[in-house]
Amino acid sequence: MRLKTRILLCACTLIAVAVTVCCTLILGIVREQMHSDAAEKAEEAFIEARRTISSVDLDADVIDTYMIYKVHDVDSSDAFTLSRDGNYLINNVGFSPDSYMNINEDYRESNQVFVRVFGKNVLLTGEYVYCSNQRFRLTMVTDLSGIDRDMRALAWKCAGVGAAVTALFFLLTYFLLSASLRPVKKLQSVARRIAGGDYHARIAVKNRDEIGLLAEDFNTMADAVEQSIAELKEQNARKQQFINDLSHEMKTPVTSLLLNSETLTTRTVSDEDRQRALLRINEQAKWIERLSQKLMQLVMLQGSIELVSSPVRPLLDAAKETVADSLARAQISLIVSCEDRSIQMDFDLLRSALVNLIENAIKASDPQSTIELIGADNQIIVCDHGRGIPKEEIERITEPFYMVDRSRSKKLGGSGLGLALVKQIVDAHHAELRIESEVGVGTSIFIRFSDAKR
Amino acid sequence: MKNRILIVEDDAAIAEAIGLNLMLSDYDYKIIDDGAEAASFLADDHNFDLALLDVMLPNLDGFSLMEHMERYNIPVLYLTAKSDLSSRIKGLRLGAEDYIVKPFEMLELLVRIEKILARTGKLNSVLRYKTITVDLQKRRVQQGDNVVLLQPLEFDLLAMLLKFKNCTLSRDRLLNEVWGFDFAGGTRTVDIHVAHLRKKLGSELNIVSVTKLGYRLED
Repeated sequence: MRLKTRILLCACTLIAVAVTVCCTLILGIVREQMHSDAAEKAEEAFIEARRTISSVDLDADVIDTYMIYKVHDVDSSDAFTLSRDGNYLINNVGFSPDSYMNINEDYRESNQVFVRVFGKNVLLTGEYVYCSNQRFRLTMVTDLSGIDRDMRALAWKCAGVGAAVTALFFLLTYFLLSASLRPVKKLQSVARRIAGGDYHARIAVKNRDEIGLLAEDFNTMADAVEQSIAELKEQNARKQQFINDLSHEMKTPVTSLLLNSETLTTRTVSDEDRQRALLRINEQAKWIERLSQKLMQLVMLQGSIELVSSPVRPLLDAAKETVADSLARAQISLIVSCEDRSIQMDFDLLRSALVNLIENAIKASDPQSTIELIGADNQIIVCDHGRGIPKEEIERITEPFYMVDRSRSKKLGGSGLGLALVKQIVDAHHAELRIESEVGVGTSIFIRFSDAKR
Repeated sequence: MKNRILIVEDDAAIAEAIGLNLMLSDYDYKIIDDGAEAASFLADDHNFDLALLDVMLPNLDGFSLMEHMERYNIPVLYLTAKSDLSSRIKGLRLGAEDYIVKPFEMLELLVRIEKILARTGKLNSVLRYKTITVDLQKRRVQQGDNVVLLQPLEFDLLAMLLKFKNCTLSRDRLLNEVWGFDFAGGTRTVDIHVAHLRKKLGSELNIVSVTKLGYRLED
């Protein structure tokens, strides 16, 4: 059952019970009052009646007749009964009132009793009357059905008023409850919207009661949920972008492999053409191999790495040695200058990053030019005097598969992952990668470490 | 006269493989690896029956090249790694005849090329092979001076083998292209029709059975 219905039912039951109890009590009091009024009146009438029956001395054989005569003389004599020794001399009330009451003779006041006879409430007022040594019993029967009728009418009125009050109370409670539960309803609908994926939904908090505070907390929770959802989404989008880029990147070499191998299997070609097709297949396979190697490195880097404090000079020398062949082929000299200091590093990864940077520098440089590899302060700098990078491209070149000049890069065997890999390695070292470049002048790439030690 | 096809593709390995196949299928071709270069080349020489355009090209992309192709009335077939619906729709809206997504099979490209040439009326309707002449429009086959009578399906099979001369065609491929996708019969049907062709045209028709692959008509 809903909270509103429950509260409404409880409150209304309570008020109905209260109204009923009140009405019953009041009716009881009123009835009591009316009865005592009736008794007083009856007593007065009875005393009046007694007075008319004056005491006389008469013979026993006429005393009965005398009494009957006297009682008949009383006002509304029909209400009186007269009996002697259990025999009624007068009885017009249709029942035997003496059997309903005992008369206490010691009592000075008249005896009164309320009884119910044949479904009617009646008041009996009775007393012994002595006359000529004879004991008569005089009883007045007062019909109370008028009072009962009045009471019944009053009870109906009370019930009507009670019902009206209850109904009014019901309506009032209903509106009050609706008003105070409206924020709860709002809360519910907003919670549903959030559950349905609308993470922007918030509740406008107005009142400062418990529900208002709950709404405020709810909004705070929704903020947190929205933020983490947005983060997840962005992360997911980045991954999706990477996968899209990768599958796009794979399509060209795969197409080439397919076309060339298909040609060799389905067509008759000259030896020269066959040789060329095989060469193309070989080249593409090598390129895929390079790409997958870089990919593997990128994937491996997702885990955490262990940093060890090592001197910088051996690192730079090792990097130079790795690229020695490429340098010789391109007829470019690499100048290493370095201070004696140590930094926190993973030697192999950092060497791999430097090799990537130097190879990029070689690709950008003309023959006979020089590349500088500098270790100074808390930085390692790779500096070339090659073609440079256009300003608007600098921000994007660390994105996976981003290439400034796609076809030129492809010809030089670039995978588009080199700088992305460097960025990852630098990030894993809690270092900062900064690129300065000017088209036609050259490029300097700075890796700045935060905790360099002398 | 041979149909001449322009290939604009920046990946040399793909362009050369396509070129080799086109040459083997009796087409002339020209390879250009740069969008802007292709546009300026067209100004001097635009005698092409079809252009195969990559979408991602240096300097000028394939979609932008479309207007140059339209100016010289050259039908366009896009070859691209972009498989998303919006680029495909864009390519076709611009007026491309067809769109093929990398990676694709050479044979599929050749079939599409032939369909486009047939649609634009630039396909040679008379195929020649040694002394055999096949007129695709009149559906007539002549060997020397003699007219050879072929069943309709035999004719289609011969035409298919001739169009893809020097190219191995699988039984499934032949069934699809000649009998149609909904043909319920098995690949044995192809073997029977090839046997009929060999019988009717004699040893001049050099149809080679390639183990596990299918058939190839060799020069």
